[in-house]
Amino acid sequence: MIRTNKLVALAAAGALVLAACGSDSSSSTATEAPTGTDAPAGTDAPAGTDAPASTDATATTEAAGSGAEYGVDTELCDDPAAATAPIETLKIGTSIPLSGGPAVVFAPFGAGAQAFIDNYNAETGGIEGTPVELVIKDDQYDAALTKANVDGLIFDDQVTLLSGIIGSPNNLAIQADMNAQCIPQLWASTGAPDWGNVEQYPWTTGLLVPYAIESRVWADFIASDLGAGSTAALFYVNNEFGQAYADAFNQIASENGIEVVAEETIEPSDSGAPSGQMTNLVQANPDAILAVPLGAQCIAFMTELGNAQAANADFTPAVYQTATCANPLFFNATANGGANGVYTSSNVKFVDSPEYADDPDVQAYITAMKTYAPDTNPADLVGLAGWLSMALAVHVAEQAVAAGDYTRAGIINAARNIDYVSPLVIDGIVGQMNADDGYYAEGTQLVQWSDETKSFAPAGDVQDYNGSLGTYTP
Amino acid sequence: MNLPVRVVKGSWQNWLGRVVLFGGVGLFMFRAMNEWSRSGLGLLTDALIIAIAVTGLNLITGYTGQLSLGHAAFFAIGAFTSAMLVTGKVWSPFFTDNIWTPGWTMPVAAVVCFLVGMVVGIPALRLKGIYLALVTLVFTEAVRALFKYGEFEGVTGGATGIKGFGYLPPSWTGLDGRADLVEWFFWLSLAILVVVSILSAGLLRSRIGRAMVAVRDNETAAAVMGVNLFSIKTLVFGLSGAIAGVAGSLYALKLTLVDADIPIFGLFGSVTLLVALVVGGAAQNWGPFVGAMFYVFVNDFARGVGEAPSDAAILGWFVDSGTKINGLGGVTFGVLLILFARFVPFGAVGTMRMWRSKLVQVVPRVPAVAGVVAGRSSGPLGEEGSGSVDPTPSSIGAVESPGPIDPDRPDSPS
Repeated sequence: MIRTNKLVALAAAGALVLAACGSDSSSSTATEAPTGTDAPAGTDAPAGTDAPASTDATATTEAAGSGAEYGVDTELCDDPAAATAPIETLKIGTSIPLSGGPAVVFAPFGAGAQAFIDNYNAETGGIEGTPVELVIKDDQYDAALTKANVDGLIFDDQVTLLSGIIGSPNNLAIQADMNAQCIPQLWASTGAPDWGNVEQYPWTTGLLVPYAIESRVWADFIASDLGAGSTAALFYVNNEFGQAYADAFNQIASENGIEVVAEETIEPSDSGAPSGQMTNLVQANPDAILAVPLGAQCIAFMTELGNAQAANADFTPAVYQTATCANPLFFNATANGGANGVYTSSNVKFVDSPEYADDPDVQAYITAMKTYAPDTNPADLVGLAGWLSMALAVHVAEQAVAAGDYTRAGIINAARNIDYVSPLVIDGIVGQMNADDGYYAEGTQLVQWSDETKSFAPAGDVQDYNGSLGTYTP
Repeated sequence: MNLPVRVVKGSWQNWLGRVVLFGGVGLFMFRAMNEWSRSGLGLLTDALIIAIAVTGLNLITGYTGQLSLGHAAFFAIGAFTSAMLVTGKVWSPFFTDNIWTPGWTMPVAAVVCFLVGMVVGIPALRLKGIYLALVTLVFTEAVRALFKYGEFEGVTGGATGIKGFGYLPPSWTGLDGRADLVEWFFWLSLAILVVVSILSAGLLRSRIGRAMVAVRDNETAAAVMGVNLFSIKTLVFGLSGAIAGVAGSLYALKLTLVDADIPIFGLFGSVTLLVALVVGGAAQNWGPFVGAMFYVFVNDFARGVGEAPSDAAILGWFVDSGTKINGLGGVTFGVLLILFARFVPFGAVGTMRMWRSKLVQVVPRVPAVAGVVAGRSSGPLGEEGSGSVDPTPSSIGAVESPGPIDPDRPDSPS
């Protein structure tokens, strides 16, 4: 036995050496340093300021913002010629969960995206007379599959650009590749700080309100509504997404004199009711709870909240859920009263709200969704997010055409210098980027759900922190 | 000529068969390299990486008979080891700068997983079957929770994971940096799979390999015959984990990030590896490769069906263009797996062997003393198992290699 053990040890050692595959000092790593999730230190933006004018949401003029104009350097690309080659057909690719657990919530994103493209082609005939094409791939929310899909989109489907890919790890996994290949990776559907890295990864732009901004909106609201010295508890999903909120809120809370008395987490894959966490929250009995659940967990959390409130009469915290839960479908699905009075925030219009019954843009959206995505509920804001990801991609392509530079470089320059919001965004919110502002959406509106009206009502003014995050440096 | 044709092990015919097999696979790889798009090559690389991990799993589950649902944990440990070393998150003795290049993190991942695997192997001494599966399953989830544990955030990245690293081809490869990244990972994964497969095959021919199979087939008898169960089980668990760890390391370097929530690092990953093993054929040299190819490419196909049902074969007749059926990709993959289990019960390689054995059988060389050439004999050998009591030497060969070749025999030639 000793002899054989030695043999195996020898074999194993040989395997290890060979496994190193002769890598030596000449092998190189990507140079990006590991980063934490800390959002860039936010400059103090005035809370609750009235947003800069720009209320004409349909304006498409690209008035330069306050920052310097951005210009991409195509010499850094693997293939500079491809980045500056004229585009004939705009072909957009995206990768989202269509099967697997998260698909339950996210699949309508694809329907909304496709509906926008179909509607756009039907109404305008496409860009310069050529219909826009869209290829949607299923990644089951798995970053490795996203990477495989994106390779397929670029090398097989030959897409011009990517837009709207869902998930932080999913976008991070392709970020370095896309920036080296100079493929615009537009409107990543996440709020991670990484998308503001103008210097290192200019070809990647984000769609959602950065988590740090939303956390600040909450903290400001608690401080003004409940006063300094009030207590808050956190309930968040234990992944990068939840952690980013928790970190940002903890920091801002201490600045505002808010004491965080409990932190409860839920695993992203956990689809059960968070009863244990709710018991702890009831015991801590804070003045406010900030909840960062993921997808269908939004409903589970509010249902548990309703149960806890029914059983404990003195448990009456103000509850806030993230913008990713701001979906009338989730609130309607909470049947036991747990959703009533819960706050959330959104920067897009709740299209089914009676408030927008006469809004022509909203009604046009609903009509288009009923025509091109008949199986999707138009009120589902996940579908609207898909629609917007394509609307913005097509918008920047149009801007590139207008600027006489209809190339990938022209498109990313248009995106990095954008000054446009869709008419489906709440009035008063601006969407700007430039060389000094790496984040598109930095404004939001707090809203509160009412079970009585089955709708959200605004709580306070629109808060726009446009430009306050600057750019991101890892 | 009567079927099956008998080929003596080690004869030129046998070697010809091997050359054709290896040549065929080599040609396939060569064509893939030159003619496939880079996305196809990327998928092939994913399959190779999974095949490496399944090769590890095959040692412990296929050959030693210990059901493990813990290999995703080794995969994750390998991945995190590489990520932590490359990004300088762990303390390195004597050096202030981070000395770890991505390539050298792979053997470290193997060593770490080997040690962890030895420890995990200890419960296997007392637990069998489903109970061992349960313990290893808990191990998988525990490792995942450990990587997410907030107190270790500085080292493991906690819930956020570690991002921003990679593995560009070293200059000696002649590959052109980022532009050839896909090719680089393809060659790297292929080379490691080949090395790991050769070592695994060599191990199985050794005394340890015999002991592993003995433990699988009858643990008590093996112990009575002098097999040290403790050594064998812990050692094989360690080796098996080390191989899975190298695969995890490659996976992380290719993906450029690790995050404890990545599906393959959890129970899903353990099941994936087990499915690939069973589909390919447990205790088969080629099982991991075939199983991983099946898993990756059929899953890719199934997702394609889910993306555009109207473009799919047969299904396309029933659905209108543009129809969306949410979740169809997963359902398609599930149905294909069920069909596979029904019609290819011994795994792809096992079943192919069974079919092949109806045409060609490889028999061990009969000792020269017998004075009988067992070549393409259609004499008494052809009637083996027919109840004949003919005591001619030729039946010795028949006894050594009964009926269709036992696909579970580790030494049955490829």
